[in-house]
Amino acid sequence: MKRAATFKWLEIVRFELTYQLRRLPTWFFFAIFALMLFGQTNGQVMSATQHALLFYSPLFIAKTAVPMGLFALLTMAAIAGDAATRDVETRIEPLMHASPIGRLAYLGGRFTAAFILNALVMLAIPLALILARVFLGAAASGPIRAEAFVQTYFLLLLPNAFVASAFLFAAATKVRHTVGSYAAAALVFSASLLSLMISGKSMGRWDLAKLFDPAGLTPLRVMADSWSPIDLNARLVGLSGGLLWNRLLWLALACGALGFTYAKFRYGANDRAARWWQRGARRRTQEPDIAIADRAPITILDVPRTFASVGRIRQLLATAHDSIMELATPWSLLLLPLLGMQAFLAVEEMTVRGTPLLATTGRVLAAFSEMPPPIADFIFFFSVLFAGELVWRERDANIQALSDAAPVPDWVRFAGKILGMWLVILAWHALLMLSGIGIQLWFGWHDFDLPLYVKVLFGLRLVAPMVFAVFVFSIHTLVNQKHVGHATVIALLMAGSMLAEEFAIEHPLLLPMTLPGWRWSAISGFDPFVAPYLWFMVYWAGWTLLLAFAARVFWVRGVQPGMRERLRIAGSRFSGRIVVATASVLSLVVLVGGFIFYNTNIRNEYRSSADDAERQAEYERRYHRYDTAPQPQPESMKVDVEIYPEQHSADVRGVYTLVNRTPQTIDTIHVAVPFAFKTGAIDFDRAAHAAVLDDAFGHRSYVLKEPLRPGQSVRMSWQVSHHPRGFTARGIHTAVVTNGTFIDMPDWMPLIGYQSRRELSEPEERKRHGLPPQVDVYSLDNVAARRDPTGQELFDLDVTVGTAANQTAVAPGELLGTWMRNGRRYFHYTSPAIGYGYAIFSADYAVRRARAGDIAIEVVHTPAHTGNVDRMIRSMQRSLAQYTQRFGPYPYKVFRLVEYVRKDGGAHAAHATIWYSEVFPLMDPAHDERGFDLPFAVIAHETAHQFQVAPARVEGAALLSESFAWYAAMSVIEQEYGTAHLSRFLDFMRRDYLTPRSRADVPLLRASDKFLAYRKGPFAMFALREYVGQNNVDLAWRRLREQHASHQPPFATSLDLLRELQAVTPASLRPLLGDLLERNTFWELKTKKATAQQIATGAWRVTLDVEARKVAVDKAGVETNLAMNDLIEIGVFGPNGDQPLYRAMQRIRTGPQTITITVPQRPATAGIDPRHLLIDVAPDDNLAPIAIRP
Amino acid sequence: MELQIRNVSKTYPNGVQALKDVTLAIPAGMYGLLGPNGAGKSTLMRILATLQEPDEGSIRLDDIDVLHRKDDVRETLGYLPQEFGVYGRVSAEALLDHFAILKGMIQRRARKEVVETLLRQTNLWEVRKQKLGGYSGGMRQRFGVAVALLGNPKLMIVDEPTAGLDPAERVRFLNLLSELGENSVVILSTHIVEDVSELCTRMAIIDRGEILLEGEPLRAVNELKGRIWRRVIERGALAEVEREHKVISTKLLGGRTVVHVHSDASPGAEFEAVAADLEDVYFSTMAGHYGRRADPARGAAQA
Repeated sequence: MKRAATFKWLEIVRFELTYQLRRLPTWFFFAIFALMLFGQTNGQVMSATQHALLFYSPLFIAKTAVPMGLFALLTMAAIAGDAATRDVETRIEPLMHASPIGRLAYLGGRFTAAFILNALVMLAIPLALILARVFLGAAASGPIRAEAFVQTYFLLLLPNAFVASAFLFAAATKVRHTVGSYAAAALVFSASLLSLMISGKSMGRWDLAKLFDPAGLTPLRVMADSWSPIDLNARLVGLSGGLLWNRLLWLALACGALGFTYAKFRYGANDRAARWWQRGARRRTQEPDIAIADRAPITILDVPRTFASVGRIRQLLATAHDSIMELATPWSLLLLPLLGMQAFLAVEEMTVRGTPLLATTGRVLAAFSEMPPPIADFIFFFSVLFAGELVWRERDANIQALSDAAPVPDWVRFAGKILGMWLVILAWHALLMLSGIGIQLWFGWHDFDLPLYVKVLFGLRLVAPMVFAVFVFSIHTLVNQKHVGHATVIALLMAGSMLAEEFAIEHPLLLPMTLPGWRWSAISGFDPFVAPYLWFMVYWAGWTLLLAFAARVFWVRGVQPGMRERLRIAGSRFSGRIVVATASVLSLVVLVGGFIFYNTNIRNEYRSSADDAERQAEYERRYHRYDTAPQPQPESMKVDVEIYPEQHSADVRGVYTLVNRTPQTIDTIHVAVPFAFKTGAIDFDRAAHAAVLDDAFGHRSYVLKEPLRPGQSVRMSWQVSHHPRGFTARGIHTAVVTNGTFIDMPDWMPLIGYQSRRELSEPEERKRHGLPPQVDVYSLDNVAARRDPTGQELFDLDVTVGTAANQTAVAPGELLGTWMRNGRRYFHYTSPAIGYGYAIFSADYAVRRARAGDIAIEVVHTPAHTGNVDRMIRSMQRSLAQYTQRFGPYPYKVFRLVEYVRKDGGAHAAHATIWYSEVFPLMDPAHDERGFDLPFAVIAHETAHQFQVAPARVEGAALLSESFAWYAAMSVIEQEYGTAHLSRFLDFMRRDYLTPRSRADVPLLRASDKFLAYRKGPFAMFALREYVGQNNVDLAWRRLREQHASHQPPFATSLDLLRELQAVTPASLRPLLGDLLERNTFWELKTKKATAQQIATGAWRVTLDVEARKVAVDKAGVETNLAMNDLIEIGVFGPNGDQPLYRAMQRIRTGPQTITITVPQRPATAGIDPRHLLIDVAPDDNLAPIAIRP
Repeated sequence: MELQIRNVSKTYPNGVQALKDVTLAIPAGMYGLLGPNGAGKSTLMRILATLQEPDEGSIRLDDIDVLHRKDDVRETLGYLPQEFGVYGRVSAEALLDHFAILKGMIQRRARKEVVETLLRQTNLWEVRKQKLGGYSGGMRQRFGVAVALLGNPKLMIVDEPTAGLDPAERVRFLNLLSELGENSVVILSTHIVEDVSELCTRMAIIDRGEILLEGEPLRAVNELKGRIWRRVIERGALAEVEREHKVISTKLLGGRTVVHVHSDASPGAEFEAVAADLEDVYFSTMAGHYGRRADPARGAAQA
């Protein structure tokens, strides 16, 4: 009997495999997946090259393969769902269940077959990756190692296939409908993402994140972030890094799901409700009494029937209602939880760096678009499934004979179902709005901007899904096979993006459903995105309408005809009104498409991204030789700006006074004119002629009749105008808008000399354009770079801005006057010593004025955004007061904050000005659970930039700017809010250490990446402050600043800072200075055990067992142990943590050691380096609770 | 070979009592279960086919406890349900072979023989390689029969088998069934009286979950001899006739109404005596003039 049971099980597996492999839809899904793999592999090969990694390194292969496996979930859902529910769908269940197959063989056999198929699907992934070498050649770099692929498949892909198959199979079996497997697939996909976002990034619990990711992707990501470059290229993944537990957990859960399915499965479940929503429908009803002989003959009532328009409308509405019911019932199983998850994630998204934001409507809507994953957009994916269900509704229920013979015209059916889909989409958006209002209520914000909700959710965000719904519906009708229809839609959309990459087709008119981006800003609203968006929307709606007409003509009614038959029927249907409608829509499409083309290609120049790269390369080829040519520098600038907000245009005229500060004579002045704007004639106040006028490549050369001798100056006048017409293929200009103009002057002004920042920086790209590799100009050892004044010049600035009468224009410096002329308002600003990076703003602003000593402070903000203005002024006042004392005078008379249009919550410091994003005023530090004031801190940081020294453009410059700014701000925070508040803030900054990262890096002297500049650097400075004393460290900075006050080359480098710091550091602490700045040092400090015992005098003796180690890690990740004999703080704390019972420096050596301390009171915790002054990637083990010994 | 059904009851969650204390003793041979739609036939069939559980009662097939040893029953069960589907994309031969394996025929050669025999017997041999999706209703029905016959079942449950067949198919089907009745219990559940009268040696009449009559068809017909009367009337006169006599059935014949009436003695000159047939037994039982409804004390006693 055992043998028979095994045989039956084998037979079920064999039958299932042959059945699924013979179905066309299965192969279609395989093909789609293969296409997807091809595209993804391509992208990943490029990504590896960009990050200078070997493509075939084991970790990179694993990290690439697993997300591809997540994409296979769709295919796996189709396979597992079919295996689980086919008997229900085909109604062969009674035959199957009456056969002597054990439950185990039945379910087990089906599951095994589904698992085998899914394992085969997964096998395609390593295959595709290996084939990359064949198709892409050496671009797929690195040696192909069998172990890497074997590990990836057996440790990651195969278990993932098992886990996915188990959950998908279990869900589909329980629900008895394939929607179960799709829902489970969505859950598995989200679980992977959520564990990363919530456990990892949000809570910092990376151990949990690694465990709860069903795909095993998070452990791989952590490895990728924390391994050294050597490991990244060569080390095998193995079962380390939490992967072992992850695999065990999820395999156990999968087996649990299967076990649950087995236990709960019953043959003949047909009796009880087939599907939970059909429970009502399947109830047995008692046969009513029928007498054997009829009393009265059957009479048929003569009810009036309408087939005119009114009747048709009614039929249409009834069809729509039926469609909604069909969609809403099973799919709400999935949609409602998704909305719940979306609301939950949106709440998480309503923060900037952890500080909660005021829940304004605009912010909530932005969260919907910006959160990963953008669940609000999932409606597109669902439309694909909905369309399939609706087109097949009658045929699935086997009622098509009745419905097709009914007097309902084809167009009514067609339109009614589409209307049903539209109403479901509308309901989705209505629920989104409700969830948005709910989120606002959750945060206690009661000002609901309902018109904005309507404009976004029922306006811009609604049209695209509706058009898309018609698109997919038409495809399903034309293809006439449910699963193939799904696959066709996916293929079409993917083909779009792949064609774009393969054949460099970028023009949006050719890529289906490509719409220009848009963004809502609290300042500028939807301006200027609406017009191009609507034009493209109409264009694509036109195409979709044509597709819908085709679908209408090919609509299947009655018995399924073959293709030839359908063509014939279509031909006969294509007459009369449809021809007229098709012709008119076609001409509309041509007209609109033509108008768009006119805008993108004729009115404006059409440039693909390849064109842009080529332009950059050609600029370098033609003009690089002028890189070292001596050029004059601007000493002062007079600029006149005319802004026309309503027309979205601006004219800028300027006069430079250029002076020759080089020792050579200059005969040619090279001018880099902006690419994006039209530059007019350039004139000089002495004779000169234009030798090169190459505006296409942004370069002009003017030869002076009489060369400019050293010390001499020349005046250059220029004008640049921006009168945009229509829109371009890549979007619309956003600099000048009706309200919220932001003119970033370096992009507008002509610049003097060859601009090396225009060069291509990607080594691969440079090779492709035949350019030599770039010289490493940024090395700290490059002495010449220190003398390069390009981009560092300061000049006196005089700006006059004219704008609309109701707006305020802002430029750097003091406002000398404002007047009206010709119905426009003018502002005149002037300032000394401004750098190139300045900007001009114009909007309907309100201005708040204050003072800090002799400095005038202004906050220019949109009238509605008064949040945090007081806080910002207070921060500026405190900062200016403290910084002038510590570092020297503030060089300007005015200090201004300006609010501008920007998506994220950041701020930017320029000379005498700070620009802050419109999100900044929404920050709500009063409700920040972490207990510190982030906006105050940020403004203190940005203000500090005004007091920094201008660094040379080499490595380590970030130390002099960003690290300095945070160092300076720390004392302002401490002065305002106290030491406890500062240490909470530092804890927040320190959390970045917890994010997995490799320890391999350059020393701080060569700092250029964000982590070093914004975290490690400031902490090193803070450590110095505590060890050497704030006054000494401040003195070093002040001296550095004074030395470079003239703002002439050579500019300051981190080596100069080191020299000044060495001057103020006592000899005993010089090694620490070296550890912090000259080497990439990590301390590993740990308190193993802490005990205390009361001694005779009533005091307490505390004994600490600590372990210490110091390593230097170089750029490649090689670690070198350093001998330790460092002064490190030891602290003993009482029960209320704040006041230390003991805190003093002690000499600590490498290795374990015991420290004994006597304290007057009963202690609670103790440890080494309790304030985390020294950089330790595991800071939590510094302190330990004290065990009291009796 | 005997199937003992004792005191089986089943009530659905919404209160409908599908089976009320059903007790039957079914020997080997063709047994007909006759009753109107909704009588509880399909429920009983499904319970016997191990696909449903009764609330009370016991069922034994010889010494096998059907309710608690379902796997054992399935090994010797042939079930042709009232409604079933098939895998449209598979050929009849392949699917029948699949079922044969599922029913325990793991020897390839023996299995091939059985499959061929069954396909020939059900007249599907010529079309065995075609996909089941293209089969007509009758062909699909015959395929179901082939599946049910796999493994020479000792218990064969056939639920409304001739409902969708044309006359020729119906005759073929009934011939096929009749050959089975030798050594197995074959229960034919139907509302077509002719099926029972032509094939079955024993029968039961069920309505509203209750067995109204049980016994041999011939005996029942005999007992009604001389009690069935026939009259042709105008349509309008029906109501009056019903008031005065026990009308058991009304039929149409060439546009006029023919009534059958149950009466121990002649109900009148207009009536003529007719030879009773099983249909009259059926209608009389349903109307309450015969069987349990007529005499509850008799119960579902032998006729």
